[in-house]
Amino acid sequence: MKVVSHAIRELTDREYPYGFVTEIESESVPRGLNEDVIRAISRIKGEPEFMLEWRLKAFRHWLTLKEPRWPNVQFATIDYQDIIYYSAPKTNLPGTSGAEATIEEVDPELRAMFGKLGIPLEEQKRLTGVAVDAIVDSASVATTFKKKLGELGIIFCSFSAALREHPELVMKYLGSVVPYTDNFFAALNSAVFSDGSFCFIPKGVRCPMELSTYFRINAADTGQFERTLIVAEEGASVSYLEGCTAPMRDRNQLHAAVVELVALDDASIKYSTVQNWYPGDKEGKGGIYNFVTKRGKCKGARSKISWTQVETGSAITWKYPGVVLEGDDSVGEFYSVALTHNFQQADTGTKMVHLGKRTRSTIISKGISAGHGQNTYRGLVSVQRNATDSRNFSQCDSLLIGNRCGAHTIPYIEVKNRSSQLEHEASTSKISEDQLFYAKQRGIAGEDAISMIVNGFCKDVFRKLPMEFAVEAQKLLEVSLEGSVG
Amino acid sequence: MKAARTFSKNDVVASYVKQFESLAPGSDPVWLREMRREAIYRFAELGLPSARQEDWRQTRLSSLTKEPFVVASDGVCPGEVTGKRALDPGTHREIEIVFVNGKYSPARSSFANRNGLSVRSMSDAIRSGDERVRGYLERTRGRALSPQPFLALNSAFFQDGTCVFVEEGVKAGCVVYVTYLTLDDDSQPQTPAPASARFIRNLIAAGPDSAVSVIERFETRGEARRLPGFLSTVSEIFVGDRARVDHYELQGNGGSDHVGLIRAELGVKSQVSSHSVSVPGPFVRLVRKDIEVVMKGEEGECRLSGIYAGRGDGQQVFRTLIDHAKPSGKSVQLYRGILDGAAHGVFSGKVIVEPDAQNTDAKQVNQNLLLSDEATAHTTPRLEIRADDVKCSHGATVGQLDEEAVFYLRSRGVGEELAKKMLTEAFAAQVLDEFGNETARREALQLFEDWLRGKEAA
Amino acid sequence: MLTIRNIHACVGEKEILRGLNLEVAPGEVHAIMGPNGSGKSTLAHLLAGRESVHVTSGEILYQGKDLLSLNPEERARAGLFLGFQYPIEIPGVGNAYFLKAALNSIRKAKGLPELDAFDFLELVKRKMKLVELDPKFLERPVNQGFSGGEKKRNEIFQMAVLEPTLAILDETDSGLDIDALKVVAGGVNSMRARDRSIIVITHYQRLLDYIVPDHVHVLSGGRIVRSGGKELARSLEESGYEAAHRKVSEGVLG
Repeated sequence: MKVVSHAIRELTDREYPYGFVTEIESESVPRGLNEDVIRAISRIKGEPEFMLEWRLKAFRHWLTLKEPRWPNVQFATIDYQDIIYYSAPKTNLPGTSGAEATIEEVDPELRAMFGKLGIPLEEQKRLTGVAVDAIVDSASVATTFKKKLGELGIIFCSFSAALREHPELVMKYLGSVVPYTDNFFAALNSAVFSDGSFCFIPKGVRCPMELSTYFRINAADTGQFERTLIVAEEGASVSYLEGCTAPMRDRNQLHAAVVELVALDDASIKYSTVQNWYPGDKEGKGGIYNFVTKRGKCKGARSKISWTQVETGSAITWKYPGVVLEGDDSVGEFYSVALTHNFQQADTGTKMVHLGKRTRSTIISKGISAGHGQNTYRGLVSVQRNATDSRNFSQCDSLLIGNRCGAHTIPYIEVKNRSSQLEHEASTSKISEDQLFYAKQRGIAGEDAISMIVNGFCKDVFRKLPMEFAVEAQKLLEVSLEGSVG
Repeated sequence: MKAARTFSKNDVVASYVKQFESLAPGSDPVWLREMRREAIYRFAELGLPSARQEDWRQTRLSSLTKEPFVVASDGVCPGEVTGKRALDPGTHREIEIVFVNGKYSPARSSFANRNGLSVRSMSDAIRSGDERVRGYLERTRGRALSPQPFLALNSAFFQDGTCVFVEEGVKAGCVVYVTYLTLDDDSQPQTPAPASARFIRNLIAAGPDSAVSVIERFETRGEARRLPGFLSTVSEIFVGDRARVDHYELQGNGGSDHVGLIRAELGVKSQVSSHSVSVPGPFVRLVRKDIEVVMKGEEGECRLSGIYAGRGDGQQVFRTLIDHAKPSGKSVQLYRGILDGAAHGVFSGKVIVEPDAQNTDAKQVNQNLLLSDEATAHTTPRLEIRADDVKCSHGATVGQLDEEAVFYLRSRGVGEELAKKMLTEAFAAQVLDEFGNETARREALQLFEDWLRGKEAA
Repeated sequence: MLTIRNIHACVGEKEILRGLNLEVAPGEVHAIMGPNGSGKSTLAHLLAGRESVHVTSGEILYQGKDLLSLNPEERARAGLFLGFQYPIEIPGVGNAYFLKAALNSIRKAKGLPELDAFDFLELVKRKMKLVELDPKFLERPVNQGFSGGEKKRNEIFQMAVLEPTLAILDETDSGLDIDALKVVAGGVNSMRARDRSIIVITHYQRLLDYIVPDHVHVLSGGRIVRSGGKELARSLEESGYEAAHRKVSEGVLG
């Protein structure tokens, strides 16, 4: 590995570039979790009664659950009473929450922060053609392009706003894909979630622009528990992007989000994530625990849900964006790049549950492990009795850089009818001396060669990302890989 | 049926412990008595596995945990007394050891004297005071790579089995046939006896630079095929440096549920293969086979293959675990399931490549053919890799016969049913190509063909 | 031998054959030529009984009987043979085993006694020489690990063993070099007989230099747009399918 080490050592000491802290005044609830805290969150947000009831039911259920443990992920016990469950940037206008502020009213510090992150928050950056909902710590701070989308009947707003303005829609779909009983972290999220994005595409409308939410954890000792709900009615389609960063902090922070997608007949939802939460330092200190439940339901016939994720951040990632293929002829896709470096651990994959006839799913997972990183693909493909003539193709490839990292593949496959076809392939490889030598001999520098090879390895997934995201993802990968062999 | 009372898992565990305590001391040497005692404690401590444990997730254990079995007591081998039913007179083999209903049958066994190869029943080997037996049995003391309650139970109760030792450098033509024959016990009146449990323990140890093939056949005849029971087998295989052991397990139509464990330990540049064909009878609820291989030396090589076919509503589980602990090892796994009726097949494979084990080459393939809409296939081919310079791959498929191939055959005049049969047979036959021993391969093919023709129901 | 009357057929939703007519008499060799996507392979698959090809109207008579009511193996047993464009690989099924099962199925249907292993082997060895196929192919799985040329030779070899009454050769020339082409053509020519008809489907005229047809048809847009003698193939080579089609269209219009 001489060539690799030399090439990579040059880049070793670059740090997580998004690790700055912004000094923003924020309002929080007291540390810890009990029914009073939940009531307080609900009150601050001025929620309807049904919402509080739901939160309390979730909380009571959560109390009966045990924190899950997985064989390939190690983490210290989380003290759930030592977390601040609600923290939101204070707005300049008294009595309003962030989401109601217009762009001009948003704290200039906050705007500057998003500028630093390269997020087109301001209306003048409209040309990028991406509608953004920005969420800092727990609250949505601004939603752009609201008006333009409104003309098409598209609702794209913060979850709090949705609860006030469209409670009937929220009531109808909230928890319909991920019930609060689903798992430990989903129950916790259901009890305490503070904000998130809501998106509703009415019948027959193709959303003309990418919708995007940008998440950032800023305050210390807070957890972030956002909730995203996207509903595409019959024949509607939408492409949705999600990005995340957090400052460098010594202590681990918990991020337990829930994302629910619902696609009715002939609808299609494409959900892309570039997750770059703070991964912790080189010794494995600090970083985000990213315990997320994401699931889509292809409720209607011929509907389609596609997940694409690039996971480079977080100390620990635990997520399985899945699709329940309920409608006949529906389609589920999962494209993933997960990179672990230093002491990062990722346990990610997907669940494809085939219920409808002639349902199809595709899984492409690329895991890259460097340093002491541990990367696990864990997936479930289940083809039920009635899901006749269904198809699945899965491919899980691992790339190892250095000999202290690990790559694990755990695919569960279950088929209950004979007319379905299912295929799973997996391979493990490393960047070989020969490949690097060949590149160098042709005049390509070592680090360029590595990122070239890694990018080549991930190409199938990057191709699925919207353009501007694909570029960001590639850059992210390069930065994340720095110092991967030492 | 008869039992009005229902048993909890703890009752079942307690029943085994109680049966252990009431066992007559027998002729066991002290060290073995100690070992058995330790094992039953370990079993009591581990308890019966539950579906919540990862290694037992998909295994349906209810047939073994709902009611206690009665550990088969010492008795006389039935055929031995009546002299009936000579065993396949035409197929005399040079080295063959035969057990009838779990009891060693000297009359049916034959050994050719051969320097450096020792084949005995486990009970004889223990009685002989051979220190090697103790050495090997105590090496694991009922522990495996994963917690194995049934290994502990087997260690506490095993009655007999086969013990094969090959001395250093001994190679040529060592093929050992082991036959486990189950007959209906016509020496006793046909009272509805409680279902019994049998425990078989095998030990195969090959010294440096030696080679041996062991072919185990499980055969059940007549009414015995309808009798429920529990068969526990444990085979421990120790392969010395540069030695080679080829192991076969041919399992035809029987009546007992079977939980088996094969453990192999490999030295430097040693090779082991274990091949199985499993076509249990329609009354069998569960066949569960664990195959664990540890490569303790560099350049070890391991080949595992198996066919499991089922038509009843029983379940077959094949779980493999290959631990590449040392560099430059190679492992190949090929398992195929053919599931008809309401059969349920599970493959759960795992390859571990430890940080030291650079240059590992591991391949794992599981393919399933579902022939009915009531059949179910589960497959979990796992990789756990902690070294970077490795070549590892796995693949799994579930599906039906290739329609293109069926059409091609039909377009040549072959009827649809025959075409499907040919393709199903081919699907299995490809696994049999892994069987290095021609006799084993032929017998395995015969078992499968019988199954394919539906003979197992007879 | 074969009469195709106004056949319309679809693959999936798409109509591929749109009113195709063809008459083949015993002993004749017909060549069907046409550009890619004209429906050549669909026609071949339709004749062999592929289930993915749905007939919406029209009829096909083979030896005076309704061909469409027969399943693929019944057609094969009645003497219809399709040489596949892409012969499928069947892992695990030995070539000899496969062919013996096929031959005996056909013989049984004809009321002939089944061949035993010995007679079968003798027959097969004789036929293998015809296409210069190495006897070791008998032991290998059907088409597995065969080169493109070997697969095609294997198809002709099977045809020689099964001795069909009507053989349809779907692009048997594709992927063959000139030497292999001569061997394959030689095999086909040796099979020409008064009571056997052959339909050669090809994209190129090249094959027809070696297998000289009695009739040449141009298939385009799912129907035969032009028919003629062997010289038609050559004129197509020079002017292309477009010209041939245009001429017909003009003719229709004029």
